[in-house]
Amino acid sequence: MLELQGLSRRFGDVVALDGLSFTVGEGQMFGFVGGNGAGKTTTMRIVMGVERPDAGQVRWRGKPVDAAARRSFGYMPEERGLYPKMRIAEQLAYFGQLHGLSKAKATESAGEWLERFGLTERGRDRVEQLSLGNQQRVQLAAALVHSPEFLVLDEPFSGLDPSGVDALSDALLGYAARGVPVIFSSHQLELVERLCDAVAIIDRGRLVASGAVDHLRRQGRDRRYRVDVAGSGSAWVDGLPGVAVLEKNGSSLLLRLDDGTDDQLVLDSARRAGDVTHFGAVEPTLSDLYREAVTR
Amino acid sequence: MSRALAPSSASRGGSFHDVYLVARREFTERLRDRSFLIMNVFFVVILVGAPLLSAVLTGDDGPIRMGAVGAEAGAVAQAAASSAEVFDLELEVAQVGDRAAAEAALTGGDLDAVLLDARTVLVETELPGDLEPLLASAASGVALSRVLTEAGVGAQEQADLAAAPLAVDTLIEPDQFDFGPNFLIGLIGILLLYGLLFLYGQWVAQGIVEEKSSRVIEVLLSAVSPTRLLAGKVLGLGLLGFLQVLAIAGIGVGTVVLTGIVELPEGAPGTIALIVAWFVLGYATYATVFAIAGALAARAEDLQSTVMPVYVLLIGALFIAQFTAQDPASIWSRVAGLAPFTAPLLQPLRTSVGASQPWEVVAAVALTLLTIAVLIPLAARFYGGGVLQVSRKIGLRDAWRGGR
Repeated sequence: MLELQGLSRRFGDVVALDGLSFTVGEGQMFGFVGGNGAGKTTTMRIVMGVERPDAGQVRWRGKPVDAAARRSFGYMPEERGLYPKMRIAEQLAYFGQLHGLSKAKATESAGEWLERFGLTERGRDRVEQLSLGNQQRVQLAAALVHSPEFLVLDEPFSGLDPSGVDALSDALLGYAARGVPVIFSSHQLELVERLCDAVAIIDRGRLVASGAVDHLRRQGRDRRYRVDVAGSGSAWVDGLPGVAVLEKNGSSLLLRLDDGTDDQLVLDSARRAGDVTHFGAVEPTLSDLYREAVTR
Repeated sequence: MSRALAPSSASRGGSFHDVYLVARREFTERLRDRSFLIMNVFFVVILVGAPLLSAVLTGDDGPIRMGAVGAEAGAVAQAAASSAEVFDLELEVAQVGDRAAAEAALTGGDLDAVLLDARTVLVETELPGDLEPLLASAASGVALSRVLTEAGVGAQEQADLAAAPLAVDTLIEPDQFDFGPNFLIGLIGILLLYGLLFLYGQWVAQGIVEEKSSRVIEVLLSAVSPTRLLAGKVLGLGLLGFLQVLAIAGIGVGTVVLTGIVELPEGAPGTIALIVAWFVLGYATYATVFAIAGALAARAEDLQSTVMPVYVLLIGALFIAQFTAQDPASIWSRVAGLAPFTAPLLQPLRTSVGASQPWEVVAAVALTLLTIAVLIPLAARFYGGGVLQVSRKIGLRDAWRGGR
């Protein structure tokens, strides 16, 4: 597992990271969420050793991460980059070798990844001859070619079409299922919510929430229900103990129930008021959690 | 993908292996580059073509075919032939029966000139080159010899008189420098050195900037340390440059030796070996500063300004070399022959004319090696600090601070 402990980084007067700590567990699919300039890229660059923290450290499997450990990591930086004039298959094999594979294994693995992405025919083409989507695939293959033990992907889904998003999701889930932890950043919160076991939300270089998504949903939040009683206002709620109206939109109400309040009693009251067309608990989405976290 | 592919944790990937991988990529990618191929085709054409062309142009037409009518003319022609070498000519002598036969031989192109008697020469239109003074002096010699013989002076005595050497005394001590063919090789050699140092240095700087502007640098640095990346790049390109210099020297010498058109000057192999050796030293010196220039630039456009001081050094070295070429005893030539950034061009030129004392060569090499030893860690630090600054050009101070 990967532990970030008290990472801080300043660029001149700008504080990029301010004592950031969180942990990515074995086999976890970990989402990294935050606004532009929140410090996601800086964090990932520090994990990869491309940037140095002013304070704090990164530990991998209990030891401070070093060059040998990073060699087993796979990395896809925010700003994509490959040698534009180098042939794809050779380029992938080169990256494989830099990450410690033998020449034969690197070549074999490069071929496998090209096949997987349907680029076998283009192995002898130069990167600059590919479409942007295919360049993105090659970039991903460059991060995966050495079968990394840990994956760090900065905005891997940006610029992919829906089928590309699906293919990448499947590949990453497959990785996590094999016990390889994956951390990736994304602005597509629905995607993060769907894929990830755990998330970290950061804002202005500080961690505002982290942990399993389900856990975050319940943690310290009141119970909310959306109830719609056809043709009725909010009068039926008045007098119900432990129930408050948070939002009223026509006949649709958003209610907050106190901890001791039985939701079935509320439903009974609603039925007495008229035809109940909707009654359901409202689970916050990751977007809600994110908005709450960063505006808190 | 099988898990078996996972690297057996750092079993490979010692520092030499990283450097080797990077160097091999630089070497092969540049070798396959079309412009590299074109450049080398160009070099081969020049190297093989120039001696052939010079042989054709200087036109070695063979000896002048000289006819002679009668014994006296024959003696003069023989005398001219034996001293023709002084005039840089070669004569073949044939006896001709009479004037009619001579005219026929001239119009038929069998002979170039015919001596009708000791003082009359018949040609078709004009006398070739320096033939007139040669024949005149030969005729005088034959006449003089006849008079001397009649006066009872023996053949041996006459020969001794003619062969008496001329002593040359000078008021001013003559140059001890040899501006012979070796000097020409030296001059061509340093032009080639200059061009290749420029080219390969430029490639080092451009390669660094390309990795930055294509952003591939971040992927690379997540696997390789900046120092190893730089070392691999410089070594890979340097090896290619070294092989190219060797190939140029080999093809040049080979053409001359195999065709035999031009004679290889004595001492040429030594001069050429020096030029090859100074390429290695010069490349090591300049590659480090070109690397620093590359690390400071973020895009190809920035490179023009960051690389300018390096250009000034290299162009300055060539300028001093050309300016002092004829005057190797000058203080400029001596100092620049020792100074690290100018020595790679000055020293081979000075040595080619025999102007450098052995201690000067040793001192120049030692100073250059010392400079390289100082520059390598500096370049590694500046490179480490500047290489990740991909968004804008940075100053030396920031690069230094960044390269902790």
